[in-house]
Amino acid sequence: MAAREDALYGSYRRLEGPLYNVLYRQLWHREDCQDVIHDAYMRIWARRDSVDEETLDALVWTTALNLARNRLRWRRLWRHEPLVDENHVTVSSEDDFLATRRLRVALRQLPATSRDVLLLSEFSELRGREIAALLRIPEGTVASRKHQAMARLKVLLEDVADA
Amino acid sequence: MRELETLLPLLEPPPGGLARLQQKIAKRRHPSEQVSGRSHRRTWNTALAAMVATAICVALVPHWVLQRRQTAMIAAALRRDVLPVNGIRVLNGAAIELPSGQPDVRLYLVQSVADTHQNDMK
Repeated sequence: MAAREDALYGSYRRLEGPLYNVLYRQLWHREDCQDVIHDAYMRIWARRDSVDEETLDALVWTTALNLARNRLRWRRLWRHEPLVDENHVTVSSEDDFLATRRLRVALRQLPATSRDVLLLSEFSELRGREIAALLRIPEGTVASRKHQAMARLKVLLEDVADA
Repeated sequence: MRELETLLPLLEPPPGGLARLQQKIAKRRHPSEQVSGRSHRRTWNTALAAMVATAICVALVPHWVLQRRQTAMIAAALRRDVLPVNGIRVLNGAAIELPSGQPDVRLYLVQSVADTHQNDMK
């Protein structure tokens, strides 16, 4: 039971895009996202002897999400707010720029678990059961949390737009 | 088609991520080459610090021991001779008559108990 290096790289090829999209909507910083992804893979590589290839992808997701949470906690603690890579998101007009800002504020106001459910459902290609296992929530609540998160997000976006 | 495609568009991660990860793993796999220079420097710094500490000890410890021994001897002598000397009684201390060389001059070494305690404490 040890993860081979090519399995690790295979996992990276599969998950880099989905991980990046989920983490970017939490950290809003390109380099931080890639740091977190690399850090997750390096940690797993360091203890590859005890890692099962069958559960490698799930472990990557869990590790990366935990690292992102730690980074957000660190930012809150030190009141550190990195500049957002606004240009990274396709911004073709001032409206798009403001929409990105609004989205960021609204996503931040969602409960952490609901936000994770929403982002994982959108980008991870994981099934409800797998998302539930990752976030350690009952499987039956994944769909309802996603639905609630989407509804709340729409309300928050309207509120932010009105403000 | 994702439900929130317009709100959350798909972003491309920065290019070259896999290559950078492979480089990091390669560096971690051969740490001896990476850190050999650093570890040599660290060893020399540690050895130098140890030598300096030893030299300081060799220079200072005998002096300190001698000083403490003298203080202890004086304190012990004073405690022994705490009885009145030639009719002179020192409260909270003691006196030792020292040879003066002149018949009409008397010389005493006087030390109070408080001083002795302080010296002992040191």
